[in-house]
Amino acid sequence: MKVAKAVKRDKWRCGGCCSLKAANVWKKTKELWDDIRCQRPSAPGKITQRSCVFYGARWILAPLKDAIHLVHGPVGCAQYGSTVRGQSYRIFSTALEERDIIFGGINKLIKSLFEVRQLKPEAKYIFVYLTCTPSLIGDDAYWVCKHMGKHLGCPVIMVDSPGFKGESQAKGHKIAYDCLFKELIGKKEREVGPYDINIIGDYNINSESQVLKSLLKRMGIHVHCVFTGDAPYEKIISAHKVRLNLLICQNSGQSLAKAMERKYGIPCLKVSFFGLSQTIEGLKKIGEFFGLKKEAERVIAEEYQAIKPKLDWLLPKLKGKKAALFFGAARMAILLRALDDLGMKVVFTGSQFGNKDTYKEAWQYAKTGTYIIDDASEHDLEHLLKELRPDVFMGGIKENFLSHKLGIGFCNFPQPKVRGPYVGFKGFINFAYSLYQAIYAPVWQFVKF
Amino acid sequence: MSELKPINGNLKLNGRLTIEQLNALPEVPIEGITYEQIYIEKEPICPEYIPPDESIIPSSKRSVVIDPGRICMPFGAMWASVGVHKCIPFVQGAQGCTTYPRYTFSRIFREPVSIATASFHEDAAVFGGRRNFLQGIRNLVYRYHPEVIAVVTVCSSEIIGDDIEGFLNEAWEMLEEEFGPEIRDQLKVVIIHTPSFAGSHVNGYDEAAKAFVKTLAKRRSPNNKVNIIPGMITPGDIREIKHILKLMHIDYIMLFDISETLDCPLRLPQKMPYYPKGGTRIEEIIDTANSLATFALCPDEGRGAANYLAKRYEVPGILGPLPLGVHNTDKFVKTLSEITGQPISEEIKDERGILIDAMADTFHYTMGRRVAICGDPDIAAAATRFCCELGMEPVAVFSGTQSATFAQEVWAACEEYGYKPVIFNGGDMFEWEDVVKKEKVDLILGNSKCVNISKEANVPLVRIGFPVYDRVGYQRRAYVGYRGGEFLLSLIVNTILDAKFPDDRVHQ
Repeated sequence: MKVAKAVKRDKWRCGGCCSLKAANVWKKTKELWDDIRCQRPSAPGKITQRSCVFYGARWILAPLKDAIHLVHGPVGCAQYGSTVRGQSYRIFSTALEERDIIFGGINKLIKSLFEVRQLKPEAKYIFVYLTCTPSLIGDDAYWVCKHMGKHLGCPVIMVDSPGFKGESQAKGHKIAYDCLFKELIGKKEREVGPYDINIIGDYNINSESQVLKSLLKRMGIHVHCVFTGDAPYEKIISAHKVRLNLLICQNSGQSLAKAMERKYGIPCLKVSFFGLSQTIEGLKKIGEFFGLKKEAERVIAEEYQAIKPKLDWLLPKLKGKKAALFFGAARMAILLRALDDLGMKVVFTGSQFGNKDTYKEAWQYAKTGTYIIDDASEHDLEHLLKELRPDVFMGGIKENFLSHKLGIGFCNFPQPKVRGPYVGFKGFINFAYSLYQAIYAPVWQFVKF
Repeated sequence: MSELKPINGNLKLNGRLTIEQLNALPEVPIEGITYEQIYIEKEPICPEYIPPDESIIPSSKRSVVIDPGRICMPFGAMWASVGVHKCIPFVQGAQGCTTYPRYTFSRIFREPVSIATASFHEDAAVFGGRRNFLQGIRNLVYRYHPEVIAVVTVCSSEIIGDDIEGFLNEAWEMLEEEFGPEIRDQLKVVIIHTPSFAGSHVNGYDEAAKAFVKTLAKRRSPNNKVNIIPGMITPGDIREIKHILKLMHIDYIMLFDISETLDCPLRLPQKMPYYPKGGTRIEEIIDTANSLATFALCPDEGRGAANYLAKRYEVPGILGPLPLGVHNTDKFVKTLSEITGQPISEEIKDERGILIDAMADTFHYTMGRRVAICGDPDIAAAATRFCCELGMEPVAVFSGTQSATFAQEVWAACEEYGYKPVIFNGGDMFEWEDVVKKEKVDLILGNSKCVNISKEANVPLVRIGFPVYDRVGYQRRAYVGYRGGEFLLSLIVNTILDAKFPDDRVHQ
């Protein structure tokens, strides 16, 4: 059988000891790493975990509640795009049909815009998402949006997000933030307080934005706008009037942070509130920037005292356990450090669409012997999981059930609604407890019969 | 806004005790207070329903679609394809067209689903998808060695006009060169054309069923089996159909059998690469041309294939109805018996008796309840008839996909029992929602997309159909057949009991 022979030559197959030699897997060694090949289009025929540009744009813009979201394209994209991070949003669609493909969808778009405005007069602005179909048939949606803005009396923003536009959803994140930056930010002036900041890259999963806000408020810092977890229209248009931008998700928010730094001279501080050491480090950094060192240390001490008993119970249970990570991008490096705090060993980490900076960061914090993988297919993950047998695997819902089929506990990101927020000090306990659940669930005893 | 009316009496508490009065009572007095008065009030999400402008409610008068009750065609095609043993759908489109369906499958079935992508990027949009197709097929064979590849086209490849059949000839030459001429026996490729703008997931399933049968079926000696095209029903439903056929001692070919591919046991060790052990074998699909008859359980999701088999191979096709409820299951079982000559076995009669017994025990809870139904056309039509059988009154029946038979079927069922529901054939959920909120409805039968409507209108929801992703285990339960009817009946009655009566009044 020829197919079987072909497989024997396949370098993707690992031997007894994991000797993965695939192009997108690297083993951490002591040498410096200059051979980073990321952000490349995935090969056809792959069962990729990546998604399209439209997905990325929805990922960023879905939490904006006072906007109308209109998908210009066939009905399928709208229906898929209505669910983001396991949460359903109402979405409008022009539902292009065969006739519109032939004669163009512009008329339908114009009519739809009038109708959505009539249905939701209280909305502050309108997003029009372009999917593959109108981009291919060449609908001039930009012209429509520009002119309809005057007719409807509110900004109509075109999100140019056809699925084939970039190699992954990372491009969609960039497009979405560019839209916000170009069309909205800087429209309204306001008086800026001494301790006003923006947070970029937090999406209010299980009210994480509220947790961060209250944490920073105790230090005396006022959070003006959270992109895009808590961003009402009024706050977005005056978001350029702050002292500092906190960049939480390095991959998706980087473009916005850089643009604001260039245009308005707002400095940007890269912090993370995942994990104990990073939260402490982040708060200290902010304290240093504003000269609020004492307040920062007071908050840290208080919060740490509050979680200490639970942490003392959890730490010995998680120490030495093996974990594996596969995420969108930035969490790859961030969670490496969070797991270090717990004393867990990371056997492999990877991302769907990470950029060079994220990989370098992951390389820096990974221990020797850790595998790092870029754009893993389902096949790669299967092999890695089978060879390295971690106790717990962390990733998105697509990887969830594969991991369960191999008898490995799974911790889902973004976390389901039944768990609390994962950021901050108490969030760290939630996170650790989720890991404890995944590892110590009695079901894993029964898997072998 | 104060002149606008609240949605219905549930919120206004007309003629009933208010919550405060009810809480103030030391004990629920029995005399003089009817059940209607001690109705449990639940806080609705929005206090008042403000109906939108009348002119914009009907979907025929709008060009914008709000909350469509349907997904794109490729999704249906992928659903059918994953029901075939060792079959990997290969999506000739961008990555999102793969990832979104995988995400949806995972959410509904809680199973890993392998779907490969041609990963279209800007270059493919300009130069066409030929290179992606050839490389993709080669890589897929090389890494996963599937037995069937179902090539599913999407909007983008159809618009740029990829000549898939032409590409496939080229691909075969390339594969023969690399893997030897045996590859033609080891691998089958089925091409399914599903441009998303031409229909919904229901049409996509239909297209896929037709493409599979057309490509693979071959005439041989008669096999004395019946073909079943299940349509988009759950693994539990398919098991129940198999159970009925087993009780009647009928050999069958279950096409697109997702019962063992989308509901797999967790048993170690797993082989690499991971393939579910179940699914329809290619041999069985080839053999469909020699069967006694083809049952398309959901007429809209198997009409194409059944008609093709009837015309080309003279296998008579029986289109629906979905065996959900007493009447429809009776019809299914009787037709089976007529065609195969097998008598209806005692066990089946017992199962039917149990369902009838359950209905007799519970009619006082269900009679006269007003119900709104939404879902895919065949499931909604069958559920409407079952509701009529329980004495419930269908008020608004909605199908997201436009169907040739849906409206007639619903109308026939309701006319028989003397009801006149509003029927929406292929609109969007917005107009159906408006009727649900304005009319006084006691119950909604629908999928998980109805959760918000149910919360806003303060009406309990019974989950049925596709997709159900906010409750566990529904994919393993059967709604079809007599046992499935009994399960659905219990679900309906328990939901009514939960919503309408205080806990201490439902003891038997």
